[in-house]
Amino acid sequence: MLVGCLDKRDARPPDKLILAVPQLPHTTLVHVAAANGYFASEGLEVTLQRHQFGKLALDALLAGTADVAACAETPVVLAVLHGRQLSVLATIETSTENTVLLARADSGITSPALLPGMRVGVARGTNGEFFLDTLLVRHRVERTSVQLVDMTPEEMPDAMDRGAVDAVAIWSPVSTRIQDRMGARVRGFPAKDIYFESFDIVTRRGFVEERSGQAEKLLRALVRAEAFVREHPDQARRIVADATKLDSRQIGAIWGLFDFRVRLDQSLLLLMEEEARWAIRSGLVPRQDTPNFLSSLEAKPLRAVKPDAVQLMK
Amino acid sequence: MLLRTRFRVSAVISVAAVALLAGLVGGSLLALERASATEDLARELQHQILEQMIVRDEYILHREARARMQWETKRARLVELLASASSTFQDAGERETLGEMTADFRRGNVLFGEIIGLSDDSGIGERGRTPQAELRARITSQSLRLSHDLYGSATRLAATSSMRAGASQRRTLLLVITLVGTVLALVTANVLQASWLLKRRVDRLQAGAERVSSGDLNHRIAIAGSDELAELGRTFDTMTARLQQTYSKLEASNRELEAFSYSVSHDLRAPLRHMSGFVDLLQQHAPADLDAQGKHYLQVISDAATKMGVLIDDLLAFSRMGRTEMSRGSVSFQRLVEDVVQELIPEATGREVVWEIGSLPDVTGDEPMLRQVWRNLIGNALKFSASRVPARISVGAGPGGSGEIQLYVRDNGVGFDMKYAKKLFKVFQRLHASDEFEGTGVGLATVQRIVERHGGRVWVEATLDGGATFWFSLPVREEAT
Repeated sequence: MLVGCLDKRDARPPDKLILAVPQLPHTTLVHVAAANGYFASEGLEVTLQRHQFGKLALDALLAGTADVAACAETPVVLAVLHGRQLSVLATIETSTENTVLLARADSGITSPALLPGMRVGVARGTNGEFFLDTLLVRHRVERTSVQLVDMTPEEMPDAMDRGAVDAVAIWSPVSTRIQDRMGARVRGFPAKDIYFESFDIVTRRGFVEERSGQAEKLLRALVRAEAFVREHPDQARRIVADATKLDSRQIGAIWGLFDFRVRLDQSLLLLMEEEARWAIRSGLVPRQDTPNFLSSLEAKPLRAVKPDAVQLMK
Repeated sequence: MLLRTRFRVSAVISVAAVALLAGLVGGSLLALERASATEDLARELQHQILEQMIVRDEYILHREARARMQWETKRARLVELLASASSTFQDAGERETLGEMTADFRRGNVLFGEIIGLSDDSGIGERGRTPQAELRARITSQSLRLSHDLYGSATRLAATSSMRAGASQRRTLLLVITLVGTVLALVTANVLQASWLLKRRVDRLQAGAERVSSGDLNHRIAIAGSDELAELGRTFDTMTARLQQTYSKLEASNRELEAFSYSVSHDLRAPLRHMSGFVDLLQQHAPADLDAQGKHYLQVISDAATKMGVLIDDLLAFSRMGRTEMSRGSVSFQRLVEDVVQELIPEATGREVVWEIGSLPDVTGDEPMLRQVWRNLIGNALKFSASRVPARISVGAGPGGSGEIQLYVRDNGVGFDMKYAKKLFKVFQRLHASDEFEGTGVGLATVQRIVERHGGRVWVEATLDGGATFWFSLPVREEAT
């Protein structure tokens, strides 16, 4: 389906690539590139391997069933801390408000400061957990005073509705579904001022060298998708709605939360280090030192495709 | 179109093109200036953001009031720069980046305020992982991240501004090159057009004038067009037509005049012969008592009648040379001159004459007429060298050139003053008294008429008592092959 029409000038067979991607609006650029045939026109035969959320996509990469994955930075940081050799090729989405804390109104949580003693649902090992920690720190709440309940995003709406948890830390569009379902029975708390998340294109270390030119083709297609989203937002929303099975109203409600740009910035490095420190302090990984994440950022392909999109200090 | 109108139009087009391009170059220079100013502003933003990052880090490390004060100064400066940038950057993408920068800047300021507040409120160091210390670390990290984003955005702005300045510079350079090229092309085109037009016209005028001056009064220049030179050509043609009419009239008058003089000369011969005959009869039958005085009178009448007869013969010959149809053929001057010399030798009986006859060419012409030329010239040389012992007479060909051959007859006779040279070839003009040298004053006029009818010219070089050299030329086309 995604083979599409190859560039007539290139008689070589297309490079095959399995891209693990969550069915989320975060990966809008991937969905647009696929739908518009940008991968095919770059000479890539991309198979999209769909997952519920980014961590599962990364797991597929780590398991070797995918060549490239799109996921948030938190699972990447944790995987690197566990000694996995990964390379981030680019950030394809950033947001400060996409992940929120949703609290049941009847729990009495009118501020995150009132979380002590509450049960908070979170997908462990995802940026939802890091977000929750940041929110707790922001409101000077001891982590140990909160009961974390590990659950998948798909379990959260029911858990909230049933009162199995008092609050959940979750991203859109799951957050939107919970709000739609519970209406006034739920309150939202973002951490806009000190929280920042990204969605990145990740591959295993060595991929760029072994699969010469494929990373550049992939990124070139995503850069084209970026331009399409900027110039044709309505069409892009329809593509994402089809890819994520969300209705246009839901897409419209969360569209403004995302910044879809292909880039690789120093701020990602800072964010990864921050999360690494948090993970070490929280005992999520069995190590005490922060690795050099610079070696986990592979800027060469993006520099070749769009030099000014790389703002990494050398 | 008139030439001056054509030149005026060309000049106006050139000036308009130059003005247009000058305007474009001016506009491009303004754009370049704006782009440079924008780039400077972006660079200044970069610089100030970097310095604010440094003083912020200094404050976070040591919490010195000086660093906080400098951070405030940088913040104020960045507020100014961002305000200036919002009115300077017009590109949609750049304005979007600027909007992000402003948002990041404000959030960064809020976070720094929190860092200050945390320091003051807690008064703690980095003791363990208290919520206070943890929050401070998180806020600091976030502040660092925002600073990097801010710096990155400023770098992108600087890069796009730099690209625009570069593009503007290249455009300006291209326009300048185009301007110079256009001016050169227009000037060259104008010059070429003018020279082509002038050459075409002037060449035609010159060729026409040459043909007319060579005697072809039927030729017309007939330049098409409406410019000044075409008008000049038409005026020239009109002038030639009038000249032709006048010439025709003159020719007719000349013919009439010559016919008249021929008739008169011819008709005078009969009564003159009667006069001469009857004077002879009277001398033979004069009464014996006719005294010497009477006989002298009769002799004077007889001599005058004879002289008049010669004069009339010369005039008739002169007239014939102008009227007779020319019969062209190959003529050997060598033979002709030798014949003439042989004919004249008897007239030099008793005289010591040295003849020097050089190599002479063959020519094409009317032999009887050309014979008359040599006879008159050599005869004159023999006559005017009568007092020289020996008389030396040279006949030869000159160097020639310029499409003509030149021939001469030189003598060592009495010569003459060159100031009278112009009179020499006119009818009845004589430089010496008739009692000194015989002659009618028609011979050289006849020579000139014959030579000119052959398309040649005559001239003379002489000094008083130093001899004379009479030259005549014939066109090369007259030369036999």
